[in-house]
Amino acid sequence: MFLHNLKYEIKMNLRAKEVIIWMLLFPCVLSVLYKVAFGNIYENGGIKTVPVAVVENRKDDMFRIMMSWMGESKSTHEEEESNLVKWLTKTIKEKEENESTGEEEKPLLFHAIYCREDEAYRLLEDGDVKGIIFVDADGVPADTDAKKDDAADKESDEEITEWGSEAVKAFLDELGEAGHADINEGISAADYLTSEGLTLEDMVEFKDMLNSSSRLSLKIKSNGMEQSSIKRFLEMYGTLIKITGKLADGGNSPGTKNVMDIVVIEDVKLTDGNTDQFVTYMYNMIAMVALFGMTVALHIALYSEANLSDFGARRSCSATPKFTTIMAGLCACCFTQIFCVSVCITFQALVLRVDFGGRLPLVYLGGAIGAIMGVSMGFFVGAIGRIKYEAKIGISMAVVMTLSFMSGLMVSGIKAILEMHAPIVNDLNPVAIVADSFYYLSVDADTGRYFGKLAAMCIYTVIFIALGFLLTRRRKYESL
Amino acid sequence: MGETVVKIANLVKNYKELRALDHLSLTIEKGEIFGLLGPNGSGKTTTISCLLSLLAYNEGTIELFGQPMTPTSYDLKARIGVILQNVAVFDELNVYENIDCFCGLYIKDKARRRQYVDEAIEFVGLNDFTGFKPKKLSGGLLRRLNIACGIAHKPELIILDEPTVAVDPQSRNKILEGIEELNKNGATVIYTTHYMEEVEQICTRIAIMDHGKKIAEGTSGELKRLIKNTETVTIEMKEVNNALLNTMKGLPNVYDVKWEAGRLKIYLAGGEHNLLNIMDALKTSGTGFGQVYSELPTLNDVFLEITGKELRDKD
Ligand SMILES: Nc1ncnc2c1ncn2[C@@H]1O[C@H](COP(=O)(O)OP(=O)(O)OP(=O)(O)O)[C@@H](O)[C@H]1O
Ligand SMILES: [Mg+2]
Repeated sequence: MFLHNLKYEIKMNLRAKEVIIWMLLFPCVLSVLYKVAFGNIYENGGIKTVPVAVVENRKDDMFRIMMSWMGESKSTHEEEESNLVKWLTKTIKEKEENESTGEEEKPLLFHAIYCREDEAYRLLEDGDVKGIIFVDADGVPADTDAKKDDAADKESDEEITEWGSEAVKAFLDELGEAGHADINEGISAADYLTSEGLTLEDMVEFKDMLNSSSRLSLKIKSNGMEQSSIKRFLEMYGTLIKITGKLADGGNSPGTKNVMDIVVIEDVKLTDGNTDQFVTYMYNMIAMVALFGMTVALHIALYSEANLSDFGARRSCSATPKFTTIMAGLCACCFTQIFCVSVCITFQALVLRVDFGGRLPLVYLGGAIGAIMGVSMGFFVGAIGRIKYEAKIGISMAVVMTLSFMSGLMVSGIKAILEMHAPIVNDLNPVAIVADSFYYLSVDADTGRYFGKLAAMCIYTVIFIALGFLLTRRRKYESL
Repeated sequence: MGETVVKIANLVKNYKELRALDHLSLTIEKGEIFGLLGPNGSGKTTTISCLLSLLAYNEGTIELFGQPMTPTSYDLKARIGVILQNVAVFDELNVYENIDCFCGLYIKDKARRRQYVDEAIEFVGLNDFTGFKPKKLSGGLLRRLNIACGIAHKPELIILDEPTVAVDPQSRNKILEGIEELNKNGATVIYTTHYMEEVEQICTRIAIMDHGKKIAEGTSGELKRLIKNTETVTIEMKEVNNALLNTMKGLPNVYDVKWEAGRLKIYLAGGEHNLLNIMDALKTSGTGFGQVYSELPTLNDVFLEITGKELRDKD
């Protein structure tokens, strides 16, 4: 009887139009949309130039050079630049021109506008710039609701250092090469400097410049890719300065100096503007599909409880125990949902080529257990009292969407905010648990944290199924 | 008769304040088509639900096939076929699959089930629609499918709760004939309805319910003999005067006269030549009149006389 029921339950599940639309089509279409949206940024190499305002409360040449290296600069107040800056800028430009023999354009990461503070704020308000970088920022209201980016800093410190050191090497190499070429031709360093219009004082200035870099602050108005790339750049620059400062000082620099200070006007958290974001969306998508098992599983109790539906009444008068029909319903829903999640994973892995850290079987396993968790939640909600079925569908949809939202499916970064203010929410959010399990698979060498998440899913499943059975254990009803 | 199939004794069911069943007792023997007749809200569905152990009841005992009925009496449930008031078939499954799905709750053996399902389809005349989804069936066909789902496993006791509500006459007749046929094949039937014509047509025994109480029980003839009315004569006339009314009231065997909506109704209890007496009186009075007809008592009259109200609203 169990198998008979199972067969028909699966048949009914797969024939329901909502399943096809919500579980199979919707996630795939959404994945493709994300892919297209992100593809523009990551695949065509055409990173959009980010306009950014720079307010210099103190002139920091090193920073200027860096900015000019990263893109175009424009100043609203013309002023004389030092010899050294002119030379460095020129050298870098020349080198770039030599390199850009092919059709490849130099990526203009930033369009820097040097201006006064009030102008900068106006530009930010109008959306003409995506952020304001304050150099030696005294203008930043350090007291108010300014949010420091501590958590993210901590998290990605290693990464940045690594990146930073590479960048420094490249930077120094570049400077070195530009000099060496001429030195090899038999001109002394002093001659070379003179021929380039530089004095020894300029070199001293260079060293000072490295040591006396300014404190930088970033103000942004909202959250997004562009803001993230500014932040990324500043972090990178900060690391670079630390290391070059050390090098220039022969390793005797007074330790690390906090050069970075990111302030977000309007309490919005910054995101990691890298490809991880796309992958994170994809992980969340799978998690969402798994949790949609809730809506699929709502009918289990409905069709088995005499007081919830006529089907339930009919089944309750039959020779088959309720436990059997409920178990068949649960298994059928698990089957359906695992199928849908698998389709979603397969689609992402094969068609969109999402990186799962080369552990596809474990991704399927995580997805399957996530699906079972979703089904158990649906079973529980379906078994709750006399709420209308339509209302239950609405509730489940809302729950899944809210959890997905908190896990960062729509706006990435939400999760980071929660991580900072209330990490327990992410630990408890089923969507985040499923998504995290995939994330850990892709970043961890071992599977400890992954299996930790799987365990959390199993605990949820057991709890919800137990509650569901508790609610459906009645055999006779006070009223139908 | 032999075996007692259903024995309900002193059943009381309260919905909070409302007493839906009030010390109801019923005994149904094997081979009967037992009609449960009552107006809307009289407690028919509640009785059936208690009988099936779906509803918890406050007092009383229920026995089926000589054994107490409990929610876990699966051996008893296996012998019952239920067609509840509301259609309960799955939209995602077609006619064949629906019947097979429900039949499978009773019959494990595949070959036997297939045969039973085919027979049920044949029985309700849905042969041409086996591949149809319920949404594509007309109301009457849907009811028939609903019935097929309940009887495919060849139960010994079939319970039908108002299976003909909102069904066209053709489907209704088909359903009623089907019930009689099932009964001929050995099934005991409990049939609830508020259509007295149906009950009179097929039921071997009838219980009339009102406000959760059984107010009368017996065969159709027995019930009618309970009341004094034996005949009602109706005369169509535009207007009537008191003299005529009094004359009519004075005639032998007449126990009540009513004039409403252009019809003069004369209620008679036994006796002979009643119509002749009435016609004579009409002639003498010289009043103009239209059609005249005489009717035998119906279950509605039974209900009317016992409760003082009509069995159901005119529709
Ligand atoms: N779940 C319930 N809660 C409260 N009262 C109820 C409930 N179900 C039925 N009743 C009341 O119990 C009484 C009997 O209802 P029941 O459904 O048994 O009548 P019925 O004879 O089947 O009527 P119908 O011909 O309309 O189907 C009615 O007065 C009804 O209002
Ligand atoms: Mg009813």
